Amino acid sequence: MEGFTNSFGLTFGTVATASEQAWVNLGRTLEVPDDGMEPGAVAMRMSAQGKDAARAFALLLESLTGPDDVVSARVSATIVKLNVDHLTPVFQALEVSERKRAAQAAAASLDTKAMVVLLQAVGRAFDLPLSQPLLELIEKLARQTETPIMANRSRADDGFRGLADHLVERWSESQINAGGSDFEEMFAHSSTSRSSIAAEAYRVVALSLETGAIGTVVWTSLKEQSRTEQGVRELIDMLARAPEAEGGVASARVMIAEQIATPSRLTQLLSEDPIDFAAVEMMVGQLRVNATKPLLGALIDAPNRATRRALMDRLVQIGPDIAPAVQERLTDRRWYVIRNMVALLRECDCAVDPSVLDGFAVHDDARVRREVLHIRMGDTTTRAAAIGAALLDKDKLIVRAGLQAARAGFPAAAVSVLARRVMEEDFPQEFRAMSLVLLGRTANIAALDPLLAYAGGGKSLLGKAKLGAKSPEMLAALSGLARSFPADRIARVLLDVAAKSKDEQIVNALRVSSSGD
Amino acid sequence: MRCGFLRVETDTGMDPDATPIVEAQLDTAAPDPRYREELKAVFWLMYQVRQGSKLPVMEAEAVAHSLYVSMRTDGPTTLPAIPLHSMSEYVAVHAINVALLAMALAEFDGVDHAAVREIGIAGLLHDVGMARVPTELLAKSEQLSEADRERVRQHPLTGARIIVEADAALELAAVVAYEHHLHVDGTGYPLLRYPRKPHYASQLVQLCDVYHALCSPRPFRQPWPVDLIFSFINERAGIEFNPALVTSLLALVKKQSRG
Repeated sequence: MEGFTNSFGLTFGTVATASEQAWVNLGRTLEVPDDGMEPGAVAMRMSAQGKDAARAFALLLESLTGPDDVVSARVSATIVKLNVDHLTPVFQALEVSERKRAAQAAAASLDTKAMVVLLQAVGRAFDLPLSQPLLELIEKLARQTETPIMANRSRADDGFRGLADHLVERWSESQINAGGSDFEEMFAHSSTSRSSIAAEAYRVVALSLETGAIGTVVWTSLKEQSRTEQGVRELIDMLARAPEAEGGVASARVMIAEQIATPSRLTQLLSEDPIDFAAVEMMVGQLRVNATKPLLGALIDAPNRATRRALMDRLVQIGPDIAPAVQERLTDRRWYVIRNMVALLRECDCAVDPSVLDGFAVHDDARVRREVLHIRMGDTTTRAAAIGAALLDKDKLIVRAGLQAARAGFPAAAVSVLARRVMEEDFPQEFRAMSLVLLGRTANIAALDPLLAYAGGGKSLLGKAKLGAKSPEMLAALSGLARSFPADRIARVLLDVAAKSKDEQIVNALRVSSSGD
Repeated sequence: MRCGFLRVETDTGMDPDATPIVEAQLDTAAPDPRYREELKAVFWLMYQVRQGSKLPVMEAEAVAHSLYVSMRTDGPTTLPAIPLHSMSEYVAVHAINVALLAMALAEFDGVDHAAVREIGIAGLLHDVGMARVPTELLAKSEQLSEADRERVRQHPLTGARIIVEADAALELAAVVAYEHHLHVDGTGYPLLRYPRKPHYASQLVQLCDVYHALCSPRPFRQPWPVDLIFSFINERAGIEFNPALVTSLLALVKKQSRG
């Protein structure tokens, strides 16, 4: 391919530089004949062209190799001719990244006069027009590049171009920040470059938690601080000490905690010995239901009762939403795991399908059964059966729980169970009196036999009915008969005998009944 | 004493407020044309902040950049560089002079160029929180009441918020604005929930802030002579001020005055 020389003396052909070629391409895009490629003509055509021309112009700027590039002067002259009003649409037609690349390339190659025009246009294209003071500062720096002292001129030139470059960088960043209005996005976009004197990330986060200030620098520092385990631990400590109710500071705390609190970090925190519950509290407060699995894991491995209780308290704070995760753990075979899970379901008032607990109601370990019965006794649909089961259980604590539940309402189905149990020899002695009191409060006929059995003492030699030996059980039974079965023929005989008694306690048993207790 | 705009209680001797209140002598020299644009930009910037606008970050950075460039192209900087012609100019003049002095001291102390610029921005914005303090409070020539003093003492917190909320990479400036009234011994204000030593840049700007404040006439006192300023600062080295920076500042000022 043979070279050719255009109207302003540039030779094109096989040896053309990239910028020369880009200049020619721009001309072709603008449909300016090669011999008509002078800045005035280009400027005139540019202002009337669209995206293709803008792209060709951007490529031209990017192809410039520096102030000494032979095309740079032409492009500078073109830009000055275009002026701010006509150059602005050119940059507006470019994507943000193209705009940034082109403007930064220009800052390295164009003369200062052109750069002043270009910066104004780029600022407008980014919708951030230069303020008057900023324009005056730029113009001042541009003027300083004209100083006759060579050393100073070079420094001033560097200063001017450095500022231009920085402004373009800032404009581009502002687009990212404007698009990332939510904190997740700001956190993701925050830059992590650090200068030799940069403020430590910890310090910036501390400042945020002390002042309530939130902005890009806080997200940057948060990201930096979260890089190491130690850093995360420091953040968690800070958050745990930040006030929960102090206006702006509290909202900064929540926003930062949202970024820091994750289930895996909570797991890490829970693996420490001893566990820092202030920090755990902060994490749980943030994660809510998402804290359930780490807490359950820690609960299962907790080495002592105090820790277990503290962990359970945190789980209970979360509320009934923990139920699905807790139920998953019911497949564990260890009795204490099941016991704790069932206890959690109970303490959180979780709505549990009764069939889920069926198998555990007859678990080998009484501690499991106890928790299950607690739940079932609290549910109206299973309460009667649960009280009955409790009364039949061999575990004293379960029987006691059954009796206590019955005091609040004695289901008919359970009356016959207790009536039978109270007559059995292996029924714990300490529960007999209480059982008879309960039976004596129901008019259920099933209760009559044990009451008569405990109140009566057989017959005298003369064949008269007599009272049993005085005991708490005998007094409770007598009182029950007086209260619930005063019309029963056999009971009436015993009650009459009791009424004639000289024993104050026996007479009182009848009175207490009639007074309603 | 009132440093910058603040009255700082000290218990180590000299109290500049004990000096008789006199009509402060302002500098009658012609305005320094070198910094006309910077002054104008800082006035504008403070005005924007006072109106409740976001901090104009690009203008602040451009001022600091321009100061840095001029500091390097104009030869050694005279400290402080800009004379005060009117008390109403104090905020802007103080900001620029502290920025210049802080950059000079940082460079003298061996800080690299990029970091010197960061310190310049931090110096320029260290008192930006004052823009939200009522102007009538700042212009008072009498002692401030405790309530007024408390309002003024909020300016580090306000300043830090203004800078952080500008959403630009100005973490050092935010830290300096927040910490520039903290002392190296942990006293000063604001009270920190997470106790920590002030950042090096905060210590540096704090020293420059006090130095320039004492050099300047205030509504309630004359500027201090340099030897008295150094006597004051030296006495507090290791308590309020970083002793190494005090030594550097003294050496820098001596060097400048010889130059």
